[in-house]
Order: sequence, then C-alpha cells, then structure tokens
Amino acid sequence: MLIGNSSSVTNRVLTIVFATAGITFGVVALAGAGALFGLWEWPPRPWSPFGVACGAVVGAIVFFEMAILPRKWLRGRRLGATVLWMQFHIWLGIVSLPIVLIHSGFGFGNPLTAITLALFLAVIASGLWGHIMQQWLPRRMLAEVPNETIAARVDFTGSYHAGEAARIIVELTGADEGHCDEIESDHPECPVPTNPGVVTGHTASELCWFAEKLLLPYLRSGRRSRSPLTARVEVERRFAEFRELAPEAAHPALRRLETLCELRRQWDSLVRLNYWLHNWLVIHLPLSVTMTGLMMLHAVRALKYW
Amino acid sequence: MSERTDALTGSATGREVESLFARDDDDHLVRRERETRARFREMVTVVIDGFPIEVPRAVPKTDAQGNPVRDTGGELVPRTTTIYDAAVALVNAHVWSESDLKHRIPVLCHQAHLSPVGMCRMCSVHISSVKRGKLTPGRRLVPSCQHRVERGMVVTTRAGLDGYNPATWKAADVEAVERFAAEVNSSIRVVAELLAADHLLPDSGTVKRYESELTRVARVAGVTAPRAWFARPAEAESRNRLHEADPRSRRIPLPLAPTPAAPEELEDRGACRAWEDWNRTVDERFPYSSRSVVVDHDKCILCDRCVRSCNEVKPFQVLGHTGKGYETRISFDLDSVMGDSSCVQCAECMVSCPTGALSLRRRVQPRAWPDSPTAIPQNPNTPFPTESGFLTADEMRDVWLAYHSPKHGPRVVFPFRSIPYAYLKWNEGAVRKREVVAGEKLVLYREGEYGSTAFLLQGTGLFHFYVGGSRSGDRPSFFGRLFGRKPSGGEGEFGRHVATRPGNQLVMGEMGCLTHQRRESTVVFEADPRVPALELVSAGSGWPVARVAAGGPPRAVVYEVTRNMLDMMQRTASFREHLDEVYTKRAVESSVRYGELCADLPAETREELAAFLLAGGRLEFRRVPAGQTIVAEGEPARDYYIIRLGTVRLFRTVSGRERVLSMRSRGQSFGAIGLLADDLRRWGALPRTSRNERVATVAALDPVEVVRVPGDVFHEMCRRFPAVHQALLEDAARRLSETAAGGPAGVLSEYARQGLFQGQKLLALDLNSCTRCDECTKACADSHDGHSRLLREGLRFGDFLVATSCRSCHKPYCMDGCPVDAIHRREGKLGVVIEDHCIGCGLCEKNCPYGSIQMVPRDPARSLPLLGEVPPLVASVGPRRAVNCDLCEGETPACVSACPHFAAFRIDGPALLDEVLARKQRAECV
Repeated sequence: MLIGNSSSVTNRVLTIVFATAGITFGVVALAGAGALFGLWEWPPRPWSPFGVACGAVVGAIVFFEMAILPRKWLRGRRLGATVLWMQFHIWLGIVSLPIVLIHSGFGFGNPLTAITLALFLAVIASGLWGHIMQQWLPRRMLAEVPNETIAARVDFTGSYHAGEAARIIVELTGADEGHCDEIESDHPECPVPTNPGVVTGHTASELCWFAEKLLLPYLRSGRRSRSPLTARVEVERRFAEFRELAPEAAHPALRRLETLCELRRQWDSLVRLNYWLHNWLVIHLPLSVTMTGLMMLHAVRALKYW
Repeated sequence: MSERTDALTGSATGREVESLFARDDDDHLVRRERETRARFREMVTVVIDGFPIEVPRAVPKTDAQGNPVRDTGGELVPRTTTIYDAAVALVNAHVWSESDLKHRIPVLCHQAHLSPVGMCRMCSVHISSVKRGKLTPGRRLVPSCQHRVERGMVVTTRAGLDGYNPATWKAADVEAVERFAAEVNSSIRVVAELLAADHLLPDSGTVKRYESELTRVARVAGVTAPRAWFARPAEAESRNRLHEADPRSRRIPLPLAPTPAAPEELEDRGACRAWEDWNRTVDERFPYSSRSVVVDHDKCILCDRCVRSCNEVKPFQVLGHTGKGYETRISFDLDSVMGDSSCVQCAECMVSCPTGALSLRRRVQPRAWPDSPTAIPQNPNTPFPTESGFLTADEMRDVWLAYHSPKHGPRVVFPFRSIPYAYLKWNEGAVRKREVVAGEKLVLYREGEYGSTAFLLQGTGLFHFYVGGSRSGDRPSFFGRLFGRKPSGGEGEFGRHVATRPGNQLVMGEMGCLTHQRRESTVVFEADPRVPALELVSAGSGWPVARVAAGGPPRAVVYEVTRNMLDMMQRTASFREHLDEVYTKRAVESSVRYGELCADLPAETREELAAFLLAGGRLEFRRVPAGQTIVAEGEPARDYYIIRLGTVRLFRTVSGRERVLSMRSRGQSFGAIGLLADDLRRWGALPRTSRNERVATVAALDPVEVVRVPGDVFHEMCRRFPAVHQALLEDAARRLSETAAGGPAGVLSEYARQGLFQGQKLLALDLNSCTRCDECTKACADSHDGHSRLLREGLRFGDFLVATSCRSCHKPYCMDGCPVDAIHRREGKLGVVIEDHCIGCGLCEKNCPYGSIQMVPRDPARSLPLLGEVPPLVASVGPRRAVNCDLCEGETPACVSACPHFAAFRIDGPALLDEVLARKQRAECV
C-alpha cells in the first residue's frame, strides 16, 4: 500500500486522513514553535525570507509532482519504479499543504494568489479523495463483480451477449432472428412462427416480446436502457414466470438468459465503480496543470516586485 | 472405453463404406474399414518374396514424431497394418536392409508419418492368398502402402526370383513368381515413365535446393528416358499460368512483386542486385510462388503429400486440389497465389514434396546461439559463411556418428540422411561443427542454462560432467573486484566432477533440449588420447563401420543442432529408437540421483543408494500423457514412483466428486504410503483396519515422465537404507495427517484446473489494491513496439487476477514443434524469447493453453523493398510474427515496474497458492 500497511480499508482511509491532518498540524506547529523562539515572525509574511523559502520549497514540490506526467508519457523508458514515484507524489503533496499555508500567511492575498491557493487546496482535496477511493473501491469491485471484465469493453461484450441471447430466443421460439414481430399473439406485432420451437403459443410471443423490448436492449446498453431488468429481483421474477410457463427443455436456455442478465448487472456495477475510481482524475489533472501555470505566474510576479 | 464404441461403421456416421466413391471420416476418397483396438492382438503371417513375417492386423497410429495418437478418452487410435508395414517389419527384423526395401517396393506418394492414400501406385505388389492349402493368385495389383494385410497373404514384389528367400526357394512356384514379378515391374515402369515424361523437369535454380525422389524411383524402375510418344508436347501450356475461370471474380495475373531485400544484403549492392534478379526470375516463371516457396505446378505429380502434410502434420488445412483431368493441380485456399493465401509459410509442404514442385526460395536464418554470425544469407544462392563452423546441407548429409548401442552394439548412424534435403537447405545454419584437438578443452553447455540445442557426438573424445558449479553469469562482487578477485578459472568454476564419459554416446544435452528444462550439469569435452580419431570403412555387409584412424593428433568432433533439427531426425523410426534408448537411460539415472529420495542424504550414501537402484535395470521408465491415471485409489500398492518430469495430482473421489489432496511434481515421488502401510499402521498413521492399497488416485496433469520402482526393490531399499526408510515414513505420516486435517480442497482443485502449477512467473494482480488503471498494459506496449504482451483479463484465483500473459511454464507447450526453433529460453533466464527469424506459422500461439502468444504483423520497416515502391498487393499481405512476454529479458518486467499500487507481481504457482491460502486462513480467523 502507498499509505499504511493495514489490510483493513477503514484503517487505511483513516491513516490517510490522520496523516494529512497530522502532518499539516505538525508542520504548522513546528513553524509556530520557530516563531516562538524568534526565528521568524508569526504569522509569517509571504514576502519575508522564511515565507519566500517556503514558497520555493512548495514550488519545487509542485514541479516534482507535475513531473509524474512526463514520466507517464515515457513509461517505456523505466525511469524508476512507479510505486516510488507515487509514494513521493502523495507524501510530498501532503507535506506541501502546511508549507503553502505557512507561505500564504494563512490568508488568500490578492486575486491571483487567492485563485492559486484555492486551486491548490482543490488539487490536494481531489488527490486525497482519489486516494481514498482507491483504497475502498477495488475491494468493492472484487466483491460485487465476480465476473469482471475490462470496463471499456463492457458495451462490446454486452452486444456480443445480446447476439447470443437473440440466437437463444430464435431457437426457443422458432422466430427469425430480429423478426420477433412475426409471432402472433396477444401482442399484435407477433404472428405465430411458421417453424415453432421449444416454446410455443402465448408463451413464445411473451418471450419474444420480452426479448425485443426488455432483454436485448438491456444486454446492449445496461442501465442506460432504463430496463426494469436492472433490478435483480425483477430478473428473477420474470424468469421464474417463464420457467413456469415453458416446458422443461427450455429451462437451460432460460437459465443462460438469466445468467446473461446477471452478468450485465455486474458489469453495470463495474462501470459505475470504475467511474468513481477514476473520475477524481478528471478534476485533479486539469486543476493541477492550471494551478501550476498560475503558480509560475505568481512566482514571476512576486519575484519581480519583491 | 469399450471396443464397441471405436468399431465405427459406415452406418454409424451415415457414410457409405463399400461403395465405389466411399469416403472415410476424414473425407479421404479411399475405401477403407475403420480399425479396432482388438486387432492389436490379432496376429497374421504374411509372406513377402518368400520371407514370412508375423504382424498385428492393426498398429497404434502415430504422429509425425512417432508418438502414439490417442482419442479423447486417452485410448490408442488404431491404424490398419499394410503390406508396406509388413515389409518395414522385415527391415526392423534385420531380414532386409533399407536399400533392399527401396529396391523391392519403391514409394513416392507414401511417407511413414502420413495417412496412406495409394495415389501414385509405384509401390504396387502382387498378392495371392492361400486357400485350402492352394495358392490363389489375385487378379490385380494392389498398392502396398495402403492395402491391408490378411491371413495367408503371399506377396510378390518387383524383385521376383532375384530377391526370393533362399530358404523357401525350393517350395516356390517359380513360374508364377516370375509372372507376378514381371507384372509388377511392368506396371511400375509404365507409371514411372509416365510421371517422368510429364513432370521430370530440370531444376530452375542455380544451386541444388531439393532432391528429386521421382528421379531416384525412376532409376529404380529402370526408366532412363521415357518413350517418345509419352513425352509432353512442346506446345502444351504450362500449368503455372494463372487460371482465370471468371475474370470478374479472379485476380488479375500479376507477377509477384520484387521481394524485399534481406537485411544482411543491404550493404552489399552487388549481392542485392543478385538477390533481386533471382527473385524476379522466379516470379516471372512461377507466379504461384510465395516469399518462401517456389511453386512449379509443372513438376507436381499430385502425390498429395503436401496436402496431407498441411492437414495432418500441421493443422493449417490450406492446401487442397483444384481443376480436373489434366488441369488438376494443388491449390492454396481457393486457388490463390501461395503468398496471398492463408498459408503461414511453415514449409511443411515443401519438405514433403518429392519432385521439387514446391521448392525453397529463402533460408530461414536460424540463430539458436548467441555467437551466431550476424546473419546467414536468406538467398540460397548466396555462398554460405564458413567461419563459424556451420554446415551446409551437403555437409550435413555426410555427417556420421559412431554410436555404441547398449542393445545392438556398435553402429554408425547418419543422422541427417533421413531429413529431406529441402529442409536441410532451408535450415542451413542450424547445425555447426565443434572440434577440439589434443590439449584443448571446450565447454559444451553449463549447468542451469536452458539449452535449445543438443550435441551429436561423432564417437570419440572425453566428456567431463560437473555439478554444483558457479553459473555462467557469476562474477566477483564489486568489492571483490576492487580487491583484485578474479572470476574463478580452471575446472573449479565448473563445480564438482562427477563423471567422465566417452564419445560413443550418440548425443548429449538432449534432455534439456527435448524437455525444455535447465541443464543438470556442466559438460566439458576434450580429445581422447586413446581414440585419437575415427574413420569410416566399408564392412562386408555394405554398411560402413567406424574404426580408429591411424596417425594424426587426437581430436574430437561434436555437432551442435537446434531443437527443430532434433525433432526432424525423430521422424525416422531408427533414430528415434536410438535417441529413446539414450534418453531413457539418462532419465532414470537423473531421476534417482537428483530426486527428493536422495536429496538429504550424505554424498556417500546417495551414491550407494543410486548404485543400488540403478543396478540390474530393474527400474522402468514410463511416459504418461496428460489426464491419464497412473495409480487408482483402492488398487493394491505394488510400486513406488519417482517423477522425472511434469506434475501429477493426488485426489480421492468423495460422493462422485474429486477432492484434490495435493500435487507433486519434478523430483518428487508418490506411492510410498501403500507400500509402507504396515509400518504406518504400527505408527498409528493409518487405521488398523486399513489394507495395503492406494489411498488416492494419481493422475497426470500434463505430460509426465515417471520412473517406476518395483515394490520388491523398494522394500529391499528400505531394508538396506534405514535413513531413507525413516525419511519416507515420516513424510508419509505427515502427508496422511495433512489429509486427515482436511486441506483447502476447493482451492487446490481450482489451482489445478487453472493450470497455475505450471507457472514460474505468473502475472498476478492483487484485486484488493489494483485500481484497473491499465498502466501495466500500457507500459508493456510502450516497451515492446506498441504490442502489449499482456491482457488484463483472465481467471481469478483468490483475490488475484492471473492476467493473460506468459506464465513461463514448467512445460512450455509453446516450444513444441516450432519448425525453425525460433522460440526458446536463453541462458539461465526464464523468459520465453521469440527470435526475429520466426516465420509466423502460429503454431506456438495455437499450442499455448493460456492464450499468451499473439500474432502481429511484422514491423513494416522490414518489409520495405529495396527498389521502387511497395505494391499494394504485397503490402497488404505482410508477414506475421509471434510475440510473447519475454519477462523484459531479465530486467524487472515493465508491467510490475509500472504498477503504481503494489498490485502487480510476477510470482510462481506454489507461492501464489501459499498467499491465497494464507489470506483465506486470515479471513477465516477474522
């Protein structure tokens, strides 16, 4: 683990929170202690030598933190183990928080510094949020999605499963693939098939309608289809009904269809968890880049008028 | 499986069996009855040219390497014994010599490792049957390669009275034999004459690239020049023209584009031009050719060998037939140009072609060893480099080895004579000669290395074996070097000297080469002053013998050969037998010496124990195919087994379900509990009511080699070596107590099912901490030309995802059968490396059970032509190559190094199992 060695997620999250708080209060207390001994004034002023030194340290840390970006682009070059980079990235990021607070004199200053500081705090917060998510969500994913796949391929695999389901329906009902409306029944769009399958009559038309309207869209698009099959209970209920109506020979195929629904439900969870696992980066990365730009502007401006 | 189920009949498959155009299940247009295993035991006596020979009516079907083929139930697949098989049995019984056989029954379309089809009828013989004591002559000639043997069958070959058995001469009907032989001779001569008239054309190349079997067979049949009116009309159109059945749907006949220059020729403009010229010549005349093989339909006799090779030896099924009548020819896919078809250019068809209709266009450039020259020219017309001791095809043909067989005594073996010339030419650079003279020493191989080469010994020299030495890469530490310590020199660096063997052992290093395991010792060789050199002289039988050459300094010669060459040699039954003899003996020895039985014993006791077990040849070596049961639960305990290679699982069947108790692999043993049951009962480890029987079933998880120690030898060993007895008892009691405690059966079953026991470097992702960021995949792609060698998907084991990436298996299936030895391990590293001379046949991809090898297009930069632009046709049919995880060639693998969350590990199977079990235990405690 990058922070804490405990196998308990709660302990690791608490470690992150307490480490951040502890380091922040510790460093601030240390600076306060220095002020007590007369080494610098309190609250430190940003333009004082101590304040500028803190700013320089933070600037160096931020540049190091941003160096992780080119390091990713050059990952084929083996510039050290990534875990080491990540550990330094996280720890230095946490350490930079109290130093920035000291550098700012616990105030926001002019609009530029205020924006820079606000962005900095947002970057730190998003980073910590992301790190906490990374402790918590992988374990949830492990428990909730036993049949995991690559999140980016969920829709592709879902379409593949929809094709399989369509073939199963064709074999069960005898309808041509994609032409379930040939079956006639209570549903006006479903005529009786010319070559009936294992399931016939009203049940066939029900099954066909179910597949066309609910099952296949759900397998293709998951939750986005707004299908009632999103709920496991609903899936179980509907397939239990079909099993009651259909002959014994159709049960294995129906079980397979139910399994496909279950897989899709798991993968919806996977997509959702994956989103929460990585969405923090959408905030963290652009804010970091913007903050670094503003920090450089602030540094140039401050040094010019110092 | 019962005999009923395999005795398939035509009605069972809905096919006609007895009609004229009946086809078998493989769709061969041959009227043939399906064989049964019951006929393995039915013996018939056949008389060929007066020589009686008893053969079974069916024999086990074998693959190209001589391994028995088994059905899905693990049973041997039967094959009908043919007249030709009976004739071969006469050769094996040393009644005839091989040249005798070739003279009596010349064959053209038949090869031992292919299904017989009786296409060319060169092997025709006359058959008669004895009915009520009277000889009844048959009405027609039959192809001996395909016709089954029958009880009372009397066969007359073309040799007739000249080759008749002198012992039965008097009883023979001389007139009838002469008449039958004349019929056979006449038939064969006409066939040979017709084939020669139409297809025996001069070679188009400037150097010899193949040997024409048609020429040899025609010579045997006495055909020097075909009759004038048999000759092909001068105005007859070549079959090499591109056929345009429907111009709208067929390709416009384009000559093949200039072949890209070989990289080694780029600097030499003259060689480049010669290369281009040569390619252009071939392209214009043989438009069906590919970049590797020249296709000349005019030479094709439609013997079907290439088609069968593509379908039976290799699994590609690209070759078939097209056209009809005189226009019939072989075709790639639906009559595509070979280079544009789905052909992977493995050259198996070229190797099997008897007439040069499919011939070599470029060498393969094998580089099995690091000190190979930078390049072996691809153009077979380019002179071959001689500086590294590599042999040309002609030189390989002349290689001979003096071997002292434990069974048959001294004999001379020509290992490359049975290999088709085209294959030798294709693989020039795969064999090199290594020679030492008096006073010199040469290290053949080092302990711990993964060798992909074996060493054929010419017959002289002394070979010293060392174990426990420093590894080849060992150097003094930084401080050692600072204080002037040098790498240890002399014999000390090789370790402890354990044996010296003479050079008449046929082969060395074959165990590492064939089983893909580390070398077990370091071998250094030097010239033997007692046998300075050998020379060949002709013996009275016509077969050469080796004798000590007079004069000259002592020298020893060894030929280093790559694995694919060794595989090819094994297609010959005689060499296979010799190799098996050597291999079996050494396998038994190494199992005993390096197994766990001897592991903890003092050196002296170990030697005594090994000597006791190896004395008298009482131990039996067995190969067990994957899935087969070795011992069954409940059967009486008779033997003790030492595992030489592979992994077995021990399981009990409880309520119809298997409960895996443990797994045992190389060096370990099983079977002691049943044999030591009396002692274990006294110890209280077994219930008093138990019997001396197997407590578990043992089945092979992958191809396993075991050494069987008979029960009486085992008990004698226990009596003579009390320390071994005690150790065996303690081990047995411990295992029984573990079993009684109830292990994690589900985990073990899953471990076995997923094949994790194979892994030496599994890529395991801890899903508790993996954030699915895919950095591992991206890092792999970035470090390997954009082709990731891993897929972050696979089966879960505990909290781990075992990603689809090379596992560095104990038994690397991927290396089996590579036709150019492009895939192997180097030195002592575990990574499986695919060399640049991979021909992209895809066999390794197919063999890998874990889907870790991918086929990708070759680097486009390699396909750039030397002159002009790449025509779109050629550019679109870019060659492929196999890529695989090479564990980053010894560095920390990029996938592991790139993981930002301590989630990716390279770990071996047992360590992963331990980790999963430990976590399971922790979770249960919580």
